[in-house]
Amino acid sequence: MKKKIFTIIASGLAAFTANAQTPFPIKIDTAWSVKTIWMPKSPLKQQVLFIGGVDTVQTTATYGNPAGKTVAKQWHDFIGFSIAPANSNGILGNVIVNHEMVTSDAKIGDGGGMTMFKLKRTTGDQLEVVDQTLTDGRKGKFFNVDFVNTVGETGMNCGGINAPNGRIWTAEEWMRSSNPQIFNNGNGIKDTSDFVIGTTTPAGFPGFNGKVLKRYQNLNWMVEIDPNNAKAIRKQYNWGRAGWEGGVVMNDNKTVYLFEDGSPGILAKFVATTANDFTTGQLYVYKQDAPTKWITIENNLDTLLQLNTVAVRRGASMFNRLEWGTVANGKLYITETGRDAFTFNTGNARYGVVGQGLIDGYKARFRVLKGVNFTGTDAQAADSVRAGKFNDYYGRVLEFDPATNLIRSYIEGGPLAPASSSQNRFAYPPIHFSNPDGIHNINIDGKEYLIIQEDLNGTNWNRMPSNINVVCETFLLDMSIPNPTFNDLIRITACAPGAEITGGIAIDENTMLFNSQHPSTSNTFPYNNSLTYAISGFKVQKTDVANILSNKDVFSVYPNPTSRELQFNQTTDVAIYNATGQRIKVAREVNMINVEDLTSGVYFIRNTEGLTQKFIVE
Amino acid sequence: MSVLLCLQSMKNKTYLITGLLLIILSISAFKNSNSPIEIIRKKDAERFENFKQKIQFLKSEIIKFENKTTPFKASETAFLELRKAYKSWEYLAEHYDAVFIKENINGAPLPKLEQNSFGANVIEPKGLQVLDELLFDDSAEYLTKDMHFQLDYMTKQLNELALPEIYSRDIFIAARIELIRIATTGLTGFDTPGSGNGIQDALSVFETMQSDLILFQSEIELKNKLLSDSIFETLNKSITYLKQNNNFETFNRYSFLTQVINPLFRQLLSAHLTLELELPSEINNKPQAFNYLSNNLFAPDFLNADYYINVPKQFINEDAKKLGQLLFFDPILSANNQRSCASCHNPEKGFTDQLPKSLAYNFEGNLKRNSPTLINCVYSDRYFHDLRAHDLTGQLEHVITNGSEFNSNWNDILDKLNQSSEYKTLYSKAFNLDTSNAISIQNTQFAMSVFVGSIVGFNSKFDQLIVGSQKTFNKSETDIIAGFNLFMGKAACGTCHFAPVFNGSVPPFYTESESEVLGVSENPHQKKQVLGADKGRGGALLKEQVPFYEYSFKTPTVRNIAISKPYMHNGAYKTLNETMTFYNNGGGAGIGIDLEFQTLGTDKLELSKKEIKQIIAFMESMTDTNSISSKPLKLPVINNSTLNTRKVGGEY
Repeated sequence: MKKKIFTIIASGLAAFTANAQTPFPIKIDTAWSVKTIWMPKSPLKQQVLFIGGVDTVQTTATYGNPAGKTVAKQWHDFIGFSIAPANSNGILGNVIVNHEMVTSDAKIGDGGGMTMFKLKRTTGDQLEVVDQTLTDGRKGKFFNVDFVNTVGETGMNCGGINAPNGRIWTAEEWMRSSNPQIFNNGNGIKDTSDFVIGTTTPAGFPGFNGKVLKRYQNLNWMVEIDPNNAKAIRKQYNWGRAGWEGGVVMNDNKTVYLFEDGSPGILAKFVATTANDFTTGQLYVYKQDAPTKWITIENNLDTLLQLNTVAVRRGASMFNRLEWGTVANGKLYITETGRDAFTFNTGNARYGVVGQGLIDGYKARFRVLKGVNFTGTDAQAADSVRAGKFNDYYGRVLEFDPATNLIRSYIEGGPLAPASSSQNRFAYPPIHFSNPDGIHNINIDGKEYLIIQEDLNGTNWNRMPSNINVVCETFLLDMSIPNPTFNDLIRITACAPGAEITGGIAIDENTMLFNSQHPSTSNTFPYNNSLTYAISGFKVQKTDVANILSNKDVFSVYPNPTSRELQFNQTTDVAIYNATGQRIKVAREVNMINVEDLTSGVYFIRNTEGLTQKFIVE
Repeated sequence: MSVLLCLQSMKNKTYLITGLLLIILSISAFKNSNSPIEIIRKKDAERFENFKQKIQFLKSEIIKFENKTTPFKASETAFLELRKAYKSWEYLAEHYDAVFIKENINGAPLPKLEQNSFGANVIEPKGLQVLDELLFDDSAEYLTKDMHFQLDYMTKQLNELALPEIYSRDIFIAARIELIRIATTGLTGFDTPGSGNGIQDALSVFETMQSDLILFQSEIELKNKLLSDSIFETLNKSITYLKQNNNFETFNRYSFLTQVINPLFRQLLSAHLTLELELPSEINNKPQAFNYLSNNLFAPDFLNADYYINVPKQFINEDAKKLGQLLFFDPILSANNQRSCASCHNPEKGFTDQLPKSLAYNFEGNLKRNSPTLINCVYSDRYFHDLRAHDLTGQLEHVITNGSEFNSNWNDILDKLNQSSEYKTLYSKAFNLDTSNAISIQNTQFAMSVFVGSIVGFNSKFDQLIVGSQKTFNKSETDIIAGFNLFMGKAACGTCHFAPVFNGSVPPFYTESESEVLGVSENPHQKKQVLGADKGRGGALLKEQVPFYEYSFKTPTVRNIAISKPYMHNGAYKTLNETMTFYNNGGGAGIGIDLEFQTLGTDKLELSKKEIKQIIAFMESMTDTNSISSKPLKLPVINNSTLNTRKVGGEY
């Protein structure tokens, strides 16, 4: 009985807390705070490796200009990593970074591009970009990948493929349909002459040599590059031309999966006849209702040039913007980033089938909005999606099992919020997970984690709490959790402020590389340029903080140095004061507050009951 | 909530104390549910419900009309009720999800591009403004299918909307932002293209805000009686004024702004501070374009120039500005060392060249477009007439590399700058770096952005009048005020040239620059009017090459218009009178240039000669050249170089 009453008291208190508008005085007396919390420096070390627009790249002879050097392009996206052989004196391998842009550049070459550099681990976690000499004679730290003299320009190099044997492909995402579009008043790709396959070295491609393409048709392929010599090898014509964003090569070095950023976007598979030779083989497109789940695509340039149109016309599965993928525990994890408003009931999309991820997403959303399970069939759910009844604000990560050829939604974005019709207002959960884009995986102490990076399509629909800063976040997901939800995500915020985080790749179990794309120029240098940086220390860092949060009786504050945030054991209102007692931040109904932007020094944190604790940011 | 439950469980006397405690707790919890914010939370949910119901009501009225049981007039009435319901919900709805409202409920009735998309995907306009046009169209009775589509769409979206939590601070923030919205868009007719219901809308908003703010009266009174009295006096005045003056054409915007909007804007800030509620800067560390601590919509500090300059805070200083000024006048940035920024943006000509189209490099003809004034140009998120640059840095980049402008590149420029010990010292001072590495591309861009961003002016004759302290006016002042009222009302200028900069930066957040399709003539002085070949925005950024952006050009500021002739992107209009005549006739549509996507209203404005004169008097009263810095007397010395004979500002 006693216990019961305590519970009631506790709930009364909770109600009081929730309804109250705690006034936080704008100034407090800082003299009498008893408890001090140390906010140690993050155990994760961050190191900038390559700054776009600042670092110098070594160029090849291009457009009649001699080989030389110039400033690197910006808009970093995918990161390729070609691992060095064991015992290479600390040399880790070559890193290669996509530039997701289209611009004219007389020295690097028009369009997008890539930059390569060699990475060495010196002492501890310290990394260094080292000098090297390439076979073509270029010497230096950074090298642009030569596309112009090999396979022709590329545009909007977004995602790509890191194959198990170290081979790397870059994906060209931006579909254009005429030469004037790619020329763009001289600001784009200036050479709009026809492109003849096989006239440059080493771009020869059996079966396609001598074929003539309009210049714009020579864009939007998967393009293999040589990561050690900073040269392109070939555009992968036999994989088809589409809005490719990402792909994976399986361990057999024969099977390739390709992901299209389109709506409808397609999932394709290529199986090479011989391992490691991707010039001959068979291309397929996924169709979940076909007996074999795959449609065969003929190796014919006319068909391959318009792969999406052909595939959807033949009834392929339609996805809502596939982005990147990774292989973990033998399965594929592919991001389907979502799109706010869409229908699949006009044009070519009428012929395709609605992908399983959208069906699963529709059912999950139905459950939250209506408060009951969707009782119809998948076909009925698909019809609703097709008719535009599914606003796919959050997107998801898909799981594809190559053994069964089945696909499902692995984790839905969120928070899904029930529609308001009563007086119940929506309380934001601490984690918001929307529009996943980059994805990779890391094994820490034998545990497999997905590394998921957001690229928000917007901030409304609860993708961010209202009136709060726009942030694209990176999360770790412990893959041993069955049926994970967004609440299981662990946030890593050790990253450049204001930018989109992309390209995330674990190069070993201690270090991840990321790109910070299009940051605000008002950030402090170098974080106001696109850049590639490393975060090291995952091996020693415990990312799981759940256990220290179990004591809910007394208001306690715990620093989480990994994420530069203070966490509380209760959901409450808090205010932060500076050393002179001036109020500088207020947050309501939260269980953590981000202090990334606080410079080192003394601060105070005060809760609803007026309890004030001192904390020191190192 | 838990009182009954507690009393029932209190059978044993030993629990009496606990019980009492519980009652106290329950009472305070109960009391709390009557707190201002608790009441507003409930009212907000009710307004949301009411809005959804009014959508269904309009739908039912349209169906009755379709079944020939009621005249169409009943649907119009139902629509006005729907507007009232929306406007009662608006100030909070816009506050917690402005993007949702813009995309689904009350966005401009124009197609736009999907953001962060895999391609150029056009989103057709949806919501109340589309309905406003449909319902008051001449053939409205034949458009009911489109109306159903809009109503169903809004219903679908509203049924998925979760109302987020709101706090006391939000009431004050939302109300103050709503004041900006009403003054700059609502009362100009911006969101009522068909119904012209702007004044009635404003009344609905003020009534709602008054009913919410009155809940805080005792709290404010406790701390500052005078402030409390003044707030509710202004609110009462707003409602009386709007009830008494409900004619859209004759509504005196000047009076309403000076007597209601600006005083209330100031008073609500005082209340926010007095109640010690958290400020936007304490909730969100993202810099804001609009300065919440500003007292007045027309104050020089109303917009944060720093937000737009987009340079790290520590570099926005006098040293960087002075360096930027030298670079601005230094022809060293051009390949032939004869042209500087001042060549086309001459401070003596209001930072323009007063030519129809600027002179090109090496005198090889002219550039494609007219040189706009730089005064107040900073308040924009896009630059160039075609909006192809996203900040001042990007703008500079195009000028440097353009063969017809500076015809140069960064490598050459840095080489030249690095030959100057004087420049090295100046850079070092401005950016707190060693002289050996202070000169860089980015620091050059920063310095120049800081300088250009400092060229602002909000102290014109008009700005002195809009303060509102003046009681009597001479003839020319009366004309200026009449012109302002026309500009913001009947002439509809203010629906694109938004106050207070009177440019295309969209209120109330001022974070997005707009462009418009006008149908500007290649040469208005010819008999046959022909559209120029320049496609503007539709031929610029790759992502924006869509039909509805073709012939679309940035909405420039009207401030300092008297000294920045000639007009339009092509400089084809020599006088303000010519320009006004073009607008008065309905833009391109009025001169035989028919563009499918003309965004300027195609109807004639029916302005009299006198009214045009008054509008011009208002526009000409906005000249403020106070921030125009004189040319530097000399440029930094380049060591051992023939470059030292170069002229301040260049040769031409």
